[in-house]
Amino acid sequence: MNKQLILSTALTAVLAAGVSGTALAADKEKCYGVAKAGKNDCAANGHACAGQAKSDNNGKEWKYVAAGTCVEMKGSLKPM
Amino acid sequence: MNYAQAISAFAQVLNHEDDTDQPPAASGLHFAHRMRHYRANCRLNRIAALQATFSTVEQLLGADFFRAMAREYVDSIPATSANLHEMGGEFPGFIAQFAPAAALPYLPDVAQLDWARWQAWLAPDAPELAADQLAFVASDDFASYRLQLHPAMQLVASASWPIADILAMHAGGPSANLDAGGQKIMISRYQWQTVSDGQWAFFSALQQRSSVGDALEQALAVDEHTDINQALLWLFQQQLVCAADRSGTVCEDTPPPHA
Repeated sequence: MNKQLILSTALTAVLAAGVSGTALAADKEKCYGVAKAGKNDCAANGHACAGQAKSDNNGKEWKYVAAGTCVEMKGSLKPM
Repeated sequence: MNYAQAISAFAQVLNHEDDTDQPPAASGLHFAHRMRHYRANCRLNRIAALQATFSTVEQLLGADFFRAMAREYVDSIPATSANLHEMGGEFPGFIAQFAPAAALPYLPDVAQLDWARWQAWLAPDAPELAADQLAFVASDDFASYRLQLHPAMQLVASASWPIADILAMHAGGPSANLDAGGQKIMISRYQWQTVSDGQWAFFSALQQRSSVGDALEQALAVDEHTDINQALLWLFQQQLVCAADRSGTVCEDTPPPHA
């Protein structure tokens, strides 16, 4: 198919579909999981002294063990 | 001491853990003790911001691992903006060189995806060009048109990892198979979808202000069977085109009416 024909076909398809988007994309997904609330809220820690409890915690004491959904995924891990 | 000196002295103290030699407080808790609280709250706010932005990464790692990693990031990379929305651009790169995460080589690409979705969410508004506005375009002329795409539109590619399957899995889909190979995604304000290599090339070229004809050529060079009909339909269905003309008008948000 030549370039001109591809473009005029595509243009016609867009015009035929109209603004309302009646021809729905088959594999479109909603953007789940995007936090919609603003983050610039300094009370986000619950109370003013949230820092008190955590102030002397050093990050090093955490265990770096993945406990989330990555363990559900199959497949061998290969280096990039 | 003027304000600039005071704020700079305060920042100096805030950024240095060893504050035992600081001047005593006028009253109440000791100065060092109060600064520890302040410092911890700053850190917690930044970690919470990373959690909100990188929600897929957090789900992959679990909360403990994520918080520990986020804390190392916060301690090693100073904030460059007072706006927490803008924090995290360097997080994917940080994850890539973060040794404890090396066993999960797809994490940096997933982080890039989370960041792109965040950018799509926060991008400024732009007017939408309805598809019927193209009705006046002669089909012979369309190749010379330039489409101005919505600032929310983001393109993310992973060379090695099925980032679309991973994202779908976190929206309730089946477990991703890591052997599925690299995937490319187009993101708009409210949705995302997998695109082919050719469509990716088409969108990238349009985003860089190439004409429709040039973008098509780049897409066909990648894959001669690229579905351009579908690509163009997506752009209009997801309201990602805000202007189309030969001069390349830049999209601008309509200024709010005067009260």
